[in-house]
Amino acid sequence: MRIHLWRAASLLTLVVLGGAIELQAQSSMFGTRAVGFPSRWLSARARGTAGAFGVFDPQSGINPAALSAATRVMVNFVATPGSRHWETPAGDATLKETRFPMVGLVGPIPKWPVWLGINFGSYADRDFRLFTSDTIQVQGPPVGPIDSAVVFDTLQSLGGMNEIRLALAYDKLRGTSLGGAFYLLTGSSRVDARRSFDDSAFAHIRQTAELSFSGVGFALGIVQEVTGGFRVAASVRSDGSATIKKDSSDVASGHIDLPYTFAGGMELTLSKKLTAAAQGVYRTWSGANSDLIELGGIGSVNSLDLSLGAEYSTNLKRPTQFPIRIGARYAKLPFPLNTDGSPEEFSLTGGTGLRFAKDRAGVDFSLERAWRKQSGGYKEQALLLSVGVTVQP
Amino acid sequence: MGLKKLLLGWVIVALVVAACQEQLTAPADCPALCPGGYIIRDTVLDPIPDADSSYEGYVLPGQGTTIRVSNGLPASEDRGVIRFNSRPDSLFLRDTLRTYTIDSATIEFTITRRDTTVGGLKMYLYRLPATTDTSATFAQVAPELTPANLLDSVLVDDTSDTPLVKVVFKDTTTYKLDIPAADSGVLAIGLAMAAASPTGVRVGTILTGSAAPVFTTFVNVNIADTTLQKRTILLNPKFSDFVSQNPPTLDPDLLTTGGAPSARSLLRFDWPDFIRDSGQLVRVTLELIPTAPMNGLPNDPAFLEARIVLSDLGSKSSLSQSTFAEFELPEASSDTVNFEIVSLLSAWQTIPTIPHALSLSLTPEGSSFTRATFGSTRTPGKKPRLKVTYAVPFRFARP
Repeated sequence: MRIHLWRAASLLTLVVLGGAIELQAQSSMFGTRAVGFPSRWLSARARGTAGAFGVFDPQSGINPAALSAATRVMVNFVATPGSRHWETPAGDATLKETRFPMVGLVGPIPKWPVWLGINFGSYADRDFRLFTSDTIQVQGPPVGPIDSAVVFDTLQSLGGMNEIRLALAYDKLRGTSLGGAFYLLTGSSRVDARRSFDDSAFAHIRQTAELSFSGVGFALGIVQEVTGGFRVAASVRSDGSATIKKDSSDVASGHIDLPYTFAGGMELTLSKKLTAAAQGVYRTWSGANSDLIELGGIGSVNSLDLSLGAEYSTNLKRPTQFPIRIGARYAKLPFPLNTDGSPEEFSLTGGTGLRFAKDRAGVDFSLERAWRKQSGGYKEQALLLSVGVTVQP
Repeated sequence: MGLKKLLLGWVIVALVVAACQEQLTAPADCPALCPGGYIIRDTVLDPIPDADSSYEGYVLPGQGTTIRVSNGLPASEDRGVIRFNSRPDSLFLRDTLRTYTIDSATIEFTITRRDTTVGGLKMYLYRLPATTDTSATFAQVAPELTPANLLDSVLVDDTSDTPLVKVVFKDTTTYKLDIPAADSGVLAIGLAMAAASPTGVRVGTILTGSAAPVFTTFVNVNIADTTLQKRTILLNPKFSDFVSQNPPTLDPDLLTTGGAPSARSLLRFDWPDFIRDSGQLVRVTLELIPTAPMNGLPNDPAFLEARIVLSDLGSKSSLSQSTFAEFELPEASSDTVNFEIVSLLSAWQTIPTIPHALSLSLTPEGSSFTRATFGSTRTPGKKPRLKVTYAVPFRFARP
């Protein structure tokens, strides 16, 4: 087992280093404000059921108590290539991106009823490149009579908030698993703002900055087996406050209260082949509302995420071979683009997976179709493929 | 591993690779999709009072790329003066100095600038005393431009903007370019002109290369070898100059550029910390108010040139040779000049030790008919000023 752990740690390091150079993507339009588009901390398997199994999934990052479901040490890596279509009053665009939202190592500690989990993941994506054109008023008094100028602005942000999770689970109680996790919130967003004018008398503007984020969080979780085919799970997480610094300044540019996260779910084994689950995640993003408004932003609202899904085994002898996963999800997103209502999301997902190399390696993937919208003419359709690679050394 | 699994793996890899060809730029609808935000501000800076000055004598007449010749032009009344290098009285051939007889001769020069709207341009070439030098004045030269000293006159082709004027002396006129022994082979000529209406021309000098005046003599050398008899003597100008009837005097209370001898102006500013420390220049306009119409030669544009001062030593300040801005002065206009110089002043933002001073000159310096005078800080109602538009730091932390 010691060798297995060492191998797993080495593999995890390679994956983290390899993935770090590709962390560039165009996030959702609903991630351009505030801290970005909040991540969901889900493995590819859980994504296949729209996240309905998230609180029970050891490879997902929602519930630390779920670690106890891991039978062996495993390294998990998730990639989510996808495309999205924006519709805004300023125009439409079709965008493609690849994200690597999570990589982790989980497994039991030998001779102890304890499981360890280490995850590196995205807390919120702040990747975007926006282009706008406008006519602005310049050279007002005292310089002279007001003149107008056509400007072309490009604003690019790469990065976002990331998290490092260290989690432990304990499962010596009959049918009950308990877990706790510590989160180190880190990451930065490299912002590049450019403005050019159609009049050559004006010089182009380019300003850059690096906004760094820091904070800590804690989580507690439980998975309770109620009957043989029925389990419930819950977790609560507090992320405190994120400190924002510009260009590594000693003085913070601002603080944003991060939310409490309340997650709960239930899993029901309907037959040997069919298991269904439901999950709800509620995050108190409204706590950041006053901070965001004070910093000049629009604000935030509490988010709600409801998922319903099922997994159907096509091979009872080897249930990990090509199961069919489906799910549906509704979400209320936390960062509105205007003060008129809040954005919403509905998505349908499907997925499957397989194990090979004597079950030492596996691939899970899911395909998610999401529709997001907010009043004012903002719509987004996304098609996201999630590929999860699992290696059990 | 089965074929099905292998295929599935490769399909997944292909999908991932295809999705990695990212398309990131999206149209944004502000303010909804526009975090952060630009703030652009305007301010006006006056030059430091009584620290703006004009200096004269940088480029003297004849030291520029052209010489001026005019007739009745309001900007200036000028005559050209060219003295060629000495023509030898013998040629060195086959190790021997040999005399020659002149077969014919030509004088060529190029009109590099003219008002093409004025027709009937005629150039007059006069013989001047061989002793004529660069100290000659209009009062000394003009009396020499008489019919008795006329070498020839040439009607210039109106269809050419930069005509080459070639005057040929041969047969019965060859004698006109005979040079007395007392003149030591020196030929000096005066240039005058006439046209359908008052106008002027600019004639290329030795600084313009192929457009320089040339005095060519075709000779027959006294040598038995007939293949060596015909020789050509090409002479460039020792100097080319022009004299002006009423050269203007420099007014110390005005900002003057141009003229000959050429004038330059120096303006000094207090560059504020709030721009230097945190502003990014977007537009900087130097506003200058002429005190008189900027007369010149119509259709011969003159350019106001601004350079940053690297070391402020008054009239002898060292100027940036690589960084400058130009503004075409409107002919005969008295309108306020708005000179865009944002490209220059980035140096004031980035080089802490650089003096906050600007040098103004007029180009082509020492050659143009145009001379511009602007109000200084001592000119009520016509003071110069700097209009500055700048961006303060982008509000990156605005979520």
